[in-house]
Amino acid sequence: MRKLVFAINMSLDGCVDHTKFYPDEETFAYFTQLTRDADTFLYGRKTYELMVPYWPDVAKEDPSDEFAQAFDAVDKIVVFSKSLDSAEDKKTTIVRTGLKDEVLKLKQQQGKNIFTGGVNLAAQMAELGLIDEYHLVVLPIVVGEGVRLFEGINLQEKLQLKLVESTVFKSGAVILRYVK
Amino acid sequence: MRKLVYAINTSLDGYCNHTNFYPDEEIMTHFTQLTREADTYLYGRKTYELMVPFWPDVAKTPPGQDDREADIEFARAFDAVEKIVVFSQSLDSVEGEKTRIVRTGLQEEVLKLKQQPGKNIFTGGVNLAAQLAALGLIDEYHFVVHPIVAGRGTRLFEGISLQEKLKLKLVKSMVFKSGAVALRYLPQ
Repeated sequence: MRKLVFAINMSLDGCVDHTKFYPDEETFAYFTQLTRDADTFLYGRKTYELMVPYWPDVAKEDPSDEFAQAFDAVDKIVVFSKSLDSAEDKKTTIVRTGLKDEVLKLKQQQGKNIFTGGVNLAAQMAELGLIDEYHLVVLPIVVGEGVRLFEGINLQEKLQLKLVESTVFKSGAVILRYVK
Repeated sequence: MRKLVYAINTSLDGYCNHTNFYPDEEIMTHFTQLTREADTYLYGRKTYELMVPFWPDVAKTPPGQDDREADIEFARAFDAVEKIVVFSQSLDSVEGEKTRIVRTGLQEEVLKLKQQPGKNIFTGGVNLAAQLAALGLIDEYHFVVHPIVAGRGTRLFEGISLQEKLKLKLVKSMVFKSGAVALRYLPQ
């Protein structure tokens, strides 16, 4: 079964609002690699609207932007949303209900990793125990406000994870990789 | 000038409630080391009431069979600290000669403490730490990030009022057997 991988940039105090920080080259390269390890994106509406058409447009303008090229090369985008009316291109499908079934179906298909990000959908998937790998990029800043990692998550009990890797980047960012 | 050092356990998602964690012996030893480098505690009321008289009692009680060596060592190091300064408007009074309450003037009090000779000043908790961080008074930050998602509780630096992001410099990172990661930062 293939893996659902979650990755996000985060401040020390758990803020994941992408407007609060700008990842450096080394961090972008990390996300590029994660993107290349995947062939399917799974997003909620907000993250989908953040990433598309922004990154596909960058990919068309700038062949040297490795992250954009990697993003645009991904085969399928699945958007889990009740409110999104329609998606523009053929590689994107919208799913309205049955998150757990949809994710299990995707995992049973052949292929590379399924890659996800954002907040709301990620919180639901973490709750359901669907995320196989968590990559947290902890940036050396305190923001003091903004949307938080897994905001809105509803856990009966703490979710215990297993640290498998920790890497320090030149910027002082620390990449923490966890599995279930 | 001596340093104000802040240390705390947090979950992945930034929650600090001590009931989330059961630090193993390796982590307790880590905190014991930090404690030994200090001779003064600076606490808000909540953290003070959490630590005292709990840890002094552990230090004074003869160890039982089930007591972990690392906990006893921590308790002894805690109890050996010479001074406790509690910054609180609501705490009525404290017991013991080594503890005093300060009601106002946080910044002056901290600067006064820093100017005294001695080892580090050690702080923890959330509310007071948020105020100290916002005032730029913390010289060293030690976070022990545990491999758990807590989902609720009191946030790291909850209530902090920052004009702009606080940028820090990572100086050390260490992985514990339990999968917890100790991250040490200095202000930039």
